[in-house]
Amino acid sequence: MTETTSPVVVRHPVRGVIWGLIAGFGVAIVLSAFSVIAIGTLTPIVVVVIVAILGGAWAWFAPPKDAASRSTSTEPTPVED
Amino acid sequence: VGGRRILAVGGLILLAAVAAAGPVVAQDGPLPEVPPGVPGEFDLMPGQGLYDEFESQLGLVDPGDFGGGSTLTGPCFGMALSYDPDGELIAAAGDFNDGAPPVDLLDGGQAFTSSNPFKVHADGVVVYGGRATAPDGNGPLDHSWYIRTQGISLDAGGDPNPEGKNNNAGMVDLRDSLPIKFTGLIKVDGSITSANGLTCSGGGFVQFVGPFPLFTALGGAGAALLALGGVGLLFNARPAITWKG
Repeated sequence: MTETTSPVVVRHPVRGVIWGLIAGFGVAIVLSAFSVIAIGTLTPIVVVVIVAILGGAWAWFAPPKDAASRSTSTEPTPVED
Repeated sequence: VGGRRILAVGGLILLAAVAAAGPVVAQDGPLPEVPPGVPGEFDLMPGQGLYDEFESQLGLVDPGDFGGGSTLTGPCFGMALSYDPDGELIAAAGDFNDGAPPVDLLDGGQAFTSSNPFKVHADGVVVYGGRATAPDGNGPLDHSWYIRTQGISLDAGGDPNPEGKNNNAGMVDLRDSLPIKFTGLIKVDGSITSANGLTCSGGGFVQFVGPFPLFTALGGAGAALLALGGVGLLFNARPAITWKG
């Protein structure tokens, strides 16, 4: 009897936003340290939000990591975590 | 004296200067116990004279508000000079005109703006002096002041000032005062009010300069967060193919 499997794409938008927030804080702090943006203005907050959104977009739209090969050629089914 | 104090000095140094009571003492000559000497190239003239000279020359100067975010309104006047660790003057600003924004004493433009912030060095010193006179002619009696950034208080204080003193001067050594060295551009605003009707408010940009930003605690922390977030995005948030069967 043959086992049948189908590939599924698992996306992590929440993780993407969380990691994006962390990276966004880093970007904002580094830009502030280099005096590119000013602490005490809305700009650092905007930077954090933009990077968080980009993180979420990355987690949704980035090409899926390759998984171990299986004996199937079925197109993967998208799934959100 | 800590980081908040430094931010206070940087952000609204003119307000802070006039807030505390303590007269500027004009010196016509050396103190009796100090032997007379020859002024050096970098010696400053007595503070009162220097202040009066700036006030007489710049009292009517209005650099115009170019929308850079610096203001100082009310009967509070003063100036601040910033030096790097080598004693080089890196910034000088003053406000001697009620209602007009502060003036850059080095180039005559508007000071404390986002494009022309007041520079302070993490290992430098800031010398300041100022005056504030309430409508009744006295200094600010029973006054209180605050300095904040984005609504968050950086420092606050006050003084009964029962003698009604209206001027003050001093120096802040940032090398000893900063709890951690950092660089960056900060927007601050503040206000001082007194029981006898004095109200001054203002705000502007202060730029901390010094070591390479990534070698400071703040810059290093930012780089670490950026690296952590990047690793998380690459290896923990990327879509993955799994198998269902």
